[in-house]
Amino acid sequence: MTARLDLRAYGDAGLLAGVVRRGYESRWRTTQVLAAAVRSAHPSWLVDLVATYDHLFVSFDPGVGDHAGVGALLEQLSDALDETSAGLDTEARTFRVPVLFGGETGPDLDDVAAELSLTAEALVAALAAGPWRVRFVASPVGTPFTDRSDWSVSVPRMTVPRVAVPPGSVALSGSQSIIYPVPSPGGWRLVGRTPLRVVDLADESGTLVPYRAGDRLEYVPIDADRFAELERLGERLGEWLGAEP
Amino acid sequence: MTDSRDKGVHAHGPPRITVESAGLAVVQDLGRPGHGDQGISVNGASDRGSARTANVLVGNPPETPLLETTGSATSLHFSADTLVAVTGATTRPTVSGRTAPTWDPMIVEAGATLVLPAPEQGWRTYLAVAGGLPGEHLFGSVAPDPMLRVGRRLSRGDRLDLSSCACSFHHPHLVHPLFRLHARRPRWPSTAVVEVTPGPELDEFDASALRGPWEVSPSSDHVGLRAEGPVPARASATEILSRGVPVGAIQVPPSGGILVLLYGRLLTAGYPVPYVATTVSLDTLGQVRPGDQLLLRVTDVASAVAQLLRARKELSEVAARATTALRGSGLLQA
Repeated sequence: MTARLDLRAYGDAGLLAGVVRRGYESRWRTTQVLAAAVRSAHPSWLVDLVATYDHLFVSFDPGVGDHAGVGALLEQLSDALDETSAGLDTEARTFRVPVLFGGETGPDLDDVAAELSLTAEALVAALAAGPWRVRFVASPVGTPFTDRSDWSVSVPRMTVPRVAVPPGSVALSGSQSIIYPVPSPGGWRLVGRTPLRVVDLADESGTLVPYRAGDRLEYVPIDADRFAELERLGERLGEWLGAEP
Repeated sequence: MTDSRDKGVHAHGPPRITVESAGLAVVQDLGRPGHGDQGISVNGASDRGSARTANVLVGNPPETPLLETTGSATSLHFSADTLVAVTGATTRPTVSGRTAPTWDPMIVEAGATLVLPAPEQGWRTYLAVAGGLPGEHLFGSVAPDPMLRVGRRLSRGDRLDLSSCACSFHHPHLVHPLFRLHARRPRWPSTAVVEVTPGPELDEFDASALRGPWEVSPSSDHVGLRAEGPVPARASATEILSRGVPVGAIQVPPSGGILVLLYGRLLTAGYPVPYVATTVSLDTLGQVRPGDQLLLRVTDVASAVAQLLRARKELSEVAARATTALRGSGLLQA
């Protein structure tokens, strides 16, 4: 596959690699596969990697490596990339996420529906109509950034962000959707909430959240009684109805 | 580590610190690097040079949990003779009312109270204790992270059990420096010069409009330092898709001023980044106070890296001198 990298210094200990390639989907794919390739190469200078839609941000120890060396490895790995190797599709799982839409758990549902010229019911139906692809996991702690090829809208953010968003909140911005895993401030529009526990801070095995880039989330509308029941059971996201292969 | 508890002549019970009063004081270390794929921020000490130096002065590894106080006074009672070092902001700590040294190791006597007053210059004070402070580790660190809901903020009456004391060490003038180890003492003027290297969107701005001075806003925190000033004009209106951002990234939000990302920064953002503060300058940013002025000074990556490697070398030299001195006096086991 042909992808050119736009390499730029990103501080004295960082390099930003922009993936130059035709098509949103291919850029994301290349970015994620390149990140997996860097991880597998275990370079001694590697401190951290943040792979998003079309950029790979590499943090490195400048006492061990330098910008030229890091860039050279990225170029070399990028030339040898095999898109299928990282298992973005073969290992992708779908997680069903029960969501109580609207009301107190989704205070922005009616406003967002109105802005999209939809009824609240039609918006819920649209959000539940297909799986959302996890493009990457980022801040705050374990947040899945998802989108869907058949969902192209532009939901504006809050003008003044909320100080405290309840965990489990399902939120929209632009044409993306996220679930807030932990209580945090946030400016995305809240349309619903899942009663499942999204993060498990006690799990020291390193799996803070069950999903990763490439996986899919499917929102399943539930009613208030079911929400209360699931909340009482305290199940984790990923355990509910199992993760489908 | 020191573990030379003798007959208890210099100890009132097991070695322990009791908090008599605390401002904003937390148990801190160097955070949780390397978990970017899970959205976990680095966090940890804001002025890492000072935190590392305090630790090595008492013979600890640089990343050992220590106390970080921010813009406030804290007072601590010691139950046993304890080897400590105070670094960071310019301040005049006292032990039992007598002025105590900073940037060198000292022993606080059993029964004495160490007062860390609010800083005169700079914003954060570090207190390292031989053997380290206790704290709950999550992802390898005790550093506070409000998102992970971890961290220990001290309040009056809290007790910190210590793993060691300096009980058998005899020194005639305990609040005098034990040794002079010549750690570099940074100064923290109210106009802070922050060295920056060019970032990915520098060409979208008029560089002279970014230099400052910028005034540090009181709404700054460990996530980001907000500095007020004019709105720098951006030549491009292209929206930036969220992407990873480094600690030290200087962001230009549309509302004006600049936002300098600090160790608690979220991992991704979509604002243009004309500059990134150098790793060494992050220590300076950890010591600026609300109302201080920031001036950005452009440097190149090679100079920034050279400066960082010099700072690391200096630290390892101080650590070597400290180890030699502490071992020679029996305060640190070989």
